[in-house]
Amino acid sequence: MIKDWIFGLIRFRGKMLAAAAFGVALAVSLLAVLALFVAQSASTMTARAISAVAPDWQVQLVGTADIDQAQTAITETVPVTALQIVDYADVKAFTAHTGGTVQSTGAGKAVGIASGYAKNFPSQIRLLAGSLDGVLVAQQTAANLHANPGDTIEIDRLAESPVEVIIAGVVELPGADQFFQIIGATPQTAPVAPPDNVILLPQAQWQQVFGTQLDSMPQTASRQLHTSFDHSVLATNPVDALVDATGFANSLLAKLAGEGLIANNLAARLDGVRQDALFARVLFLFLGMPGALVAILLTMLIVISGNDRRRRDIALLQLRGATSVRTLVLTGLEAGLVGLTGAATGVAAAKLIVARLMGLPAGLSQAAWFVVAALCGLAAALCVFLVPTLFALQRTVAQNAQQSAILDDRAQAWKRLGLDFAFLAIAGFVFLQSAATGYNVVAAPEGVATASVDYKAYIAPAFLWIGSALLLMRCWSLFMRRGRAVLSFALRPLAGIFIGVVVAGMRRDEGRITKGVVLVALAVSFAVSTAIFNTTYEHQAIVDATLTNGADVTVTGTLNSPASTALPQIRALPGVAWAEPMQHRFTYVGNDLQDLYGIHPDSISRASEMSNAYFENGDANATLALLRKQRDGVLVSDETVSDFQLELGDTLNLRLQGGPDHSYRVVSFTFIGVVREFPTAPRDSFLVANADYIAEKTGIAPSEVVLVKSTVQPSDLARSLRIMLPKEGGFAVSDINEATHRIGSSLVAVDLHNLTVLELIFAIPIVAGAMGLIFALGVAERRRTFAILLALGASAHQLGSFLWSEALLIYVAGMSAGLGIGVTLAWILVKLMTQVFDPPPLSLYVPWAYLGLLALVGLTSVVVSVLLQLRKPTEPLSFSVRNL
Amino acid sequence: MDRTLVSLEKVGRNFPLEGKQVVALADVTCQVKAGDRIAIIGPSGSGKSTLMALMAQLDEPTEGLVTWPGFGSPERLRPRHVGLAFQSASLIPSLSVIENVEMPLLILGEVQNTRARAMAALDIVGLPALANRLPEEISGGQAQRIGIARALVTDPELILADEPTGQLDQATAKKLVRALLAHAKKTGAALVIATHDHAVANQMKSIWRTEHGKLTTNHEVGVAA
Repeated sequence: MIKDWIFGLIRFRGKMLAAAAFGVALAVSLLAVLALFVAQSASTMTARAISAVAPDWQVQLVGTADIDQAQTAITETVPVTALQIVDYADVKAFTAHTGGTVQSTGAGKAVGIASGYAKNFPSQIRLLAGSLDGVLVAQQTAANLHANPGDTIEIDRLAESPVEVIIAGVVELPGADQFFQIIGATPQTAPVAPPDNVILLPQAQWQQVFGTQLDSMPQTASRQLHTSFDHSVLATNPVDALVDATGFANSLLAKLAGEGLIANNLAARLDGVRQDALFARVLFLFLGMPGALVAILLTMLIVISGNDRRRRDIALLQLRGATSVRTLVLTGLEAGLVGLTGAATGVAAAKLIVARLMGLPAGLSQAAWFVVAALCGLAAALCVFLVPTLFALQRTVAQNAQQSAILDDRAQAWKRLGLDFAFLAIAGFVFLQSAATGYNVVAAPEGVATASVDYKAYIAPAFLWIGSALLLMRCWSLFMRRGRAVLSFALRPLAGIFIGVVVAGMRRDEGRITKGVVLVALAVSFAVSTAIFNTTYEHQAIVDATLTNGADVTVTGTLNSPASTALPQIRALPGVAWAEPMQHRFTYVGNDLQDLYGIHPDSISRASEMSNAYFENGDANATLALLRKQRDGVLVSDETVSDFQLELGDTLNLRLQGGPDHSYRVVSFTFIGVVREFPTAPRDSFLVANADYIAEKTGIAPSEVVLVKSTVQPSDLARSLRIMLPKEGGFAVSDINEATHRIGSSLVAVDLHNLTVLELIFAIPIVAGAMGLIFALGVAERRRTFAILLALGASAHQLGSFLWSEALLIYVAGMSAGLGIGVTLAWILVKLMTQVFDPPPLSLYVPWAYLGLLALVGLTSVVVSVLLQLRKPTEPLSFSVRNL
Repeated sequence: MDRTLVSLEKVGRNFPLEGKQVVALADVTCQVKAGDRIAIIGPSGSGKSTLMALMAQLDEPTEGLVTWPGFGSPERLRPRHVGLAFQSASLIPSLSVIENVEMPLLILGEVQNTRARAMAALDIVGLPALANRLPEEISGGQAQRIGIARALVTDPELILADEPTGQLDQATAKKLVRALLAHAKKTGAALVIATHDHAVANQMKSIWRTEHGKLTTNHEVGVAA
């Protein structure tokens, strides 16, 4: 019997089962691919983040600790790839006699490094001028001392007489905060700014100069072991990798037995990435789950469309004495057939997508996700088949034998209860509550191993989605019953003289049409919300990267070697749309050294987009116009305004380096506005002023930075610039692509590009499936009606007026409602995920081309579906009539 | 001389079933002329409905030739020339009774007085009171009578009714057949009824008998009105 049942199902309900399997396959493949995407994202995020960490550990030796034993302990704990001794000593001052003048600095640090340090930890030291072989001086110290390679500097030691050294090179210390961090400070201790004045000596020379200080005044000198190790020993997931990194450090601490303290830079970095990984998971749930749910809903509707026939089958089985278990087994077979076919197809599709799009090699972890997704698909299929059967088994044979079940009352209970309004009210309440707490969806407190996602935030979009769908169902139902005049007017061009019966038929069939409209709206809303969110996200990622890098490509020089000296060559290079010079100076605001950016308000936006979000008044154009008008105007960061209690119009006296001797002088500015972010600027305190005014007051016109707008791939242009620019200039060229990899912010850490492509791939068949399949199933439900019409003598053209009217109605209504729900959802998602945006987007970015494609795909699937229905029937009409 | 409406010449109709050919009709030759009153009787599966389907152009013969010389072009016979009442209840569930009856007129492209003509057809079968009901709100017998009203609404020249009284009691069946005959007389239409009911058949002018796909014609037994 079971064999016959299966063959019968395949033979007589093959198309319906195939359609249901298609829905399951969509859900399974979407789940599998998205799960793998999240896993891959976490892995990429970890690898990308920790690749930039150097050194992984800074181990500071305590007291009389034996350095050899410490080195052995480290190599026994982790597979070391670099291990270098670094010595630190405090100094009273540095002095230089240059150009007939004497310059002195305040207190500083003298660091002893081995010759291979710069090679082993290239991100720590960047040569700006001269050579790395010998004594190196930090850029700001060199500027303060007016010192260049070849000059002599005097180091004023704490306990001994000053010594003179000859400078071999000027360097930048990009990781100074980390390099000079206080090791062993309590977690509550505020971070300490790196020293203003730094000199780096070869290790032997440092020993010679400060060896005595290390022994006699150990509180003023220290010795560290900078270590990097092979990261392949860490887990790929950032949360587990953090546990590994912390575990290795604890193990080393135990081995050092109190003779060393560890600054775990690797764990600190992973601590930040952990939050990004949680964001990735949140994004997966926010953006991916609705698609899988729509696919399951699609399957449900396909299965429900066959419920009448299935119920009659059950009535027959009941009449013939089949037990409930037997009936359930037979329905289970149908479900299993659909579930297994769908799951197998879904997994095959997912494997193809994963291999082609994500380029992941097959592995055990992949197989696990495939199995999980397949089981979900199978479970969904069992539910959608078995639940109606369980209900049917509770009814009598006579009730099941009826053409339509008496289910309407129960099914419409939600309307009486007002569940749609309840869902929307809860969504609104939770959203407002999230807004009140600043939309902190993900919390990963620093120094705490656990991180958490505020899953309550999901309630707002999820309930909005469900509530909107139910409200749409209620409103559409009402419209179908009351909107006869509107429907007649809208559909008359398609229905012609049939308009009366077409509209009457639709109104009486509103339940089925409403289901179609709602499902199409849900499918479209999934596609629209994810597309808009992803586009906004990607746009903001570019804004974030631009903010960090400054422009597509940025050439950075120094005060002594400004990048603007190469401006004519840069502008002449092919691929350069515009090159904008920008001064980057340092100025004292009171005792606080801050970055000062000198810009040309007229032209800065030609190289770098000036976002409204950069300025407190939310108007970039107005702010730049004001700066242009007020020559001595200065834009000040929030923090400085608050620290110095500034009011608009206040005079701000800043100390700037100027004149041929680069000495500090006071220049007066007028405070005209607040700036929150600015290209290349740090996140805390900085100032923006007119470049011409700074040049006039300091006597130094050139700009240290050149921002370049590119017409070609920024990385290609950066490569050309590196080749073209003179090596002796010490210019650093960076492009926006590097910045996206370098930035530690959450926004760009989760690369949504692949997710966008995945969703494009899935949204299209889901929308097409919802449009075409639901419409086709509607016709399947009404096959009887069409057989009668054809037997009465209706032509295909006349039949078309019924089909086209319904198709247009479902298409236009579903698309419009879906667009509305999708845009609202995208807005809510952007608001909820505001934590990842820096700066937050000013508006949603709508991918019109994609939405156009989506509309076209939906329309095409409807047209194809109608045309397929209008094909001449293959069986004689007499057969259809006989089966009426 | 009476005009021939439909003519079958050595017509056969086979159906494939599980790899074999099942003969539904074989070597049937017959003609229906204007004003004919014909009852087709025969056991179930003897080919009555197949014969009706071929006459109504719902099906094509596998052998022989079916022509409709009385209707000119064979294009679009239904519902202008041929009115068809089905064996089973065949109303469109989403349309009201009156809309169902009106449908053939709309298919013909008529826009004037369609509702009034549909009501007149309902009057013939005695069910004008059900005009605004939905098919699910009426009985099987009523649905069958409404199906007949729909077949008559265009005043066709050939009325084909397959088991039109199958779901009716005898008194109602008798009334219905009388109404059919009266309408056919009024419009000059030919009437062909497939039936198991000898009482119905006896009201026709001719009775054709089908058995194992063969047709025997010209049993003139009744006195049609």
